[in-house]
Amino acid sequence: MPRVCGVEIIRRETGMPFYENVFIARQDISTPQVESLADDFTKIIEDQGGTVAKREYWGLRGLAYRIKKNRKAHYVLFNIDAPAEAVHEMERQMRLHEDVLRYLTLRVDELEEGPSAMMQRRGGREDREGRDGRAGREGRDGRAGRPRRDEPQAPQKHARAEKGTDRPAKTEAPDADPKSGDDAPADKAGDKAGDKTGDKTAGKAGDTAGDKAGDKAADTAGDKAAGKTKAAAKAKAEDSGRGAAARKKPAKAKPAGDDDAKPSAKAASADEDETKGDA
Amino acid sequence: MPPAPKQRRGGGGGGGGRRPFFRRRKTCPFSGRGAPKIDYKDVRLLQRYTSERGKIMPSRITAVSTKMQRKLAKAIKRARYLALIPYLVK
Repeated sequence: MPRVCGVEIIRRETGMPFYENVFIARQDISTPQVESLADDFTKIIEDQGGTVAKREYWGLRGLAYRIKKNRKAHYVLFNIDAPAEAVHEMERQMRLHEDVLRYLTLRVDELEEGPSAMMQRRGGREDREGRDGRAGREGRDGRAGRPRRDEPQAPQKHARAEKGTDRPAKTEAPDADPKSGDDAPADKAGDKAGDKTGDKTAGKAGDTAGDKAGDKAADTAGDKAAGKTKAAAKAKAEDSGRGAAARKKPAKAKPAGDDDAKPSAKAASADEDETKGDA
Repeated sequence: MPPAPKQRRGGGGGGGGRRPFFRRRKTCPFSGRGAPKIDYKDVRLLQRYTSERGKIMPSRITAVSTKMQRKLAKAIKRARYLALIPYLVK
């Protein structure tokens, strides 16, 4: 019964299972060295008729515990489609190689498409380090932290939201919160305005966004850092007012410009005065 | 009378946990639609199912089904071997 259809049958005929391999290399070797090491292993696989479907370099990661006095190590992941002998040979070489601290090879039913879980959360990892443990504890009900594995942009917002909701009593939170809270909506308002003005509903968008921005300005008026950023925005707004180009950047600044004309945003105008003084 | 609920909530304030208190049995977080895949590379996920000391959490607390708990335990052990998560935290 020759290959009817479906990958499974063909696969069984070729007799090549899928493997996943992760190896950890010593921290003292450089990244190019790791790459060449990975190239060597890839070559072993390919020489024996296999293919390396994907190669992922996870970078120099901190180890959870020390291995042969190393606190950090280079991680490399292979997705392999190769005969068993090739994998055995590669494993043998890994065992012999001094720079390889550890390796793990698993047979898998199918190879993962796209970046692995490790790479997916790489983007927002830095700003959320250190909170992992906490997330773990909340996770008892198996719910917390799930949304974090979204797009790179989303996690930041989540992180902010969490800061506010999860630990209002902590020391850092009160300081950090208002600012971040203000920044986010302000950005949003700007974006919104930008989009809408692009669509030539300029007046309305300007008004609504302007109100929002005005409120924000009132909130942040006391804040000097905010004042300075506003200053930049104001400068842009003035320029754009004269230029009257309907591009995104000018549009972003526009609501602030409309805002000035409005009596409702007294704080904003006050802010403007300040900023002018700064400038 | 229905059987007494086996599940106790991890962080729940209930406390009592005796007969009169009735907690809705939670479902396994790894079954059903949109459930995350158990993967030894997903450190964040695995860390949710280990205690502060680094121990694997019992399924009676996390409500993970028996089958998934086996897979989860295996994934955690693999991640430990690769030093992605610790064997123990002092």
